[in-house]
Amino acid sequence: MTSFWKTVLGKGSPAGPYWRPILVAVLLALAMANLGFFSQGGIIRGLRNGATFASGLFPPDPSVTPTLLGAMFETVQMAFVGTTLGFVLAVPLSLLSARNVSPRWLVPWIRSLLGLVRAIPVLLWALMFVVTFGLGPMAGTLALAVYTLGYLGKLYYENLEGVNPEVLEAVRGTGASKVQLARFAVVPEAANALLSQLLFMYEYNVRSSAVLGFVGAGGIGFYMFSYINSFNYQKLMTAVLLTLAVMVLLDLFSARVRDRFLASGASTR
Amino acid sequence: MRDVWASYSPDSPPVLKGIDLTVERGDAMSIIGSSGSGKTTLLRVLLGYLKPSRGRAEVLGAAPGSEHVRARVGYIPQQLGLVLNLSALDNALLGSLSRVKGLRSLTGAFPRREVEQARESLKLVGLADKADKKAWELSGGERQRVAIARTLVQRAEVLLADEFLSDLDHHRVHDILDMLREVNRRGVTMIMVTHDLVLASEWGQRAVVIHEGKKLADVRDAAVTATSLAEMLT
Repeated sequence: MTSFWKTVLGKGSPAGPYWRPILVAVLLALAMANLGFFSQGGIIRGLRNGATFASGLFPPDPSVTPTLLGAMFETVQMAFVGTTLGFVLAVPLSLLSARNVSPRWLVPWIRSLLGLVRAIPVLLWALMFVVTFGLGPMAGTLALAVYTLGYLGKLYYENLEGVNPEVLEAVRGTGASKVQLARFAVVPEAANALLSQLLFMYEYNVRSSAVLGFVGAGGIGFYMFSYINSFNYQKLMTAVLLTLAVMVLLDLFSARVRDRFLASGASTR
Repeated sequence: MRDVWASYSPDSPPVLKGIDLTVERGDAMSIIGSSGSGKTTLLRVLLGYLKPSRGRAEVLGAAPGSEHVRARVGYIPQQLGLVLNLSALDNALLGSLSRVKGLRSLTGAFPRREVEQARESLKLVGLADKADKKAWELSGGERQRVAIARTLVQRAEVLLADEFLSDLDHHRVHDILDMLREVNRRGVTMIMVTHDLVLASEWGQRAVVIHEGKKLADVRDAAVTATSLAEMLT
C-alpha cells in the first residue's frame, strides 16, 4: 500500500481513524458539485450535445485532404525545428545546471531560469510569439522551442547528475578538465536517456503543435479550430484521422530509432 | 602519508586513523584489509578526492588532486570507470586528455600520435582487434584490459587500483597480473587495494595491512604470504 493510501485509510488498520475516507469522499463530492457535475440538466444536455457532435463527425470529408496534408507537413516541421532548437539550447544549459559538472554557485541561477521557462504554458508562449512575430508557424515553432528548452533542460540535468560517479572519478583521474569531463564522460554516459527523452519530446511536440494552431500559430490546429468554429465536423474528423495516422507513423519511427541506439547499450548496464 | 586521519564529514567518525605510509618509486604493493577497513578511503586521499582532516599526504612530491599530479596518477576504480557508450579505443584515448587540450579534444580530433599510442596500448593488452567495439560490448576481462590501456596512454607514473580484479576467475586474474607486472617493470609505481589475501601474496613485493583505519603491518618479499597476512588480520 502506498503511503498516500496509508495516510487516507489510516494505515489499513481496523483501529485506524474511520473518518479519513469519509472526509476524502465529502471533499471530492463538494469539489465535483462546485464544478457542476451534479447539475442534472447540464449532464443530460452535455450528453445530448456530445451525441450530436459525434454523429456530425461521420463520414469524414476527404475533399480537404490535400489542404490538410500541407498543414500536417507544416505541423511536423514546426515540431522538428522547435524540438531541435530547444534541444540545442537545453544541452548546454542542463550541463550548467548539473552539480557534478557546473560550478556550485551557477547551478541555482540556471535552474531558476529553466523553472521560469517551464512555469509558462506552451499556449501562452505561442500567444506571446504571435503578438511579437505575428500569426503563422514561426510563432508556434518558437513556442515549442522554448517549451522544449524548459522541459528537456530539467530532464537532462537530472540525468546528467545520475551518471555513475565512479566513471567521473576515473576520467577526472586522467587529468581531464571539467569541460572534458562533460564532453567525454557525462554526456556519453547519459546519452541513452538523453536520446530517449528527445524522441519523446518530439512526439509530444507534434501533438502540441496541433493545439498551437488554435491561437493562430500555424499547423493543422489552425484548420481544426476553424472547422470547429464553422461546425464542419466531417472535415474536422479528416484532420483528426490524419493527425492520428502521423502519430502512429512517428511512434513506429521512434521505436526503430530506440531499437537501433538504445536497446543493446542499455541492456548491459 | 604522515599521520593521516580522514573522515567523510566533520561529524562522522574517522575512517583513517593516523596512517603513516611511504611508497618508493617502482614499488608494487597491495593494501589489504576487510570491508570497511579504510582501504578505498586511503586511495581517495591519494587521489585528492578526500582531504585529510589531520596529517599530510603527498604524491610525487606535491599535494594530491592538483591537475599536475592527477595527470601522472592513473586510477582504476572497482567498477573500472569505463564510459560504456564509447569504444575501447576512445576509452583508451581518455588517458591522453591531460595532454590534448582546448577545441582539439572537445571536437574529438585527437592528434595522430595519441591515437597510435592508444592503439598500441590496446595491442599490448591483447585487444587490438576490439578497438572499435563499444565498452558495453566487451566481456568483464576485456573491460579490465581497456582500463589498463587507459592508464598506459595516460603515461601514469603511479597506478592506483581498487579491487578491480574481484569479479574475474582465477585464470583471467593471472593474465591481468602478468600484464600489471609488465607495466610495473616499465617503472610505474603500483598500489592495488584488495581483500583477497592470495591475490595480494601473488601480486606484490610488499603488503600493507589495514584494520579499522589503522595500519597493522607492513611486510615485504618472503613475508608476503596468504597465511601470514591472514594471521595478521585475525
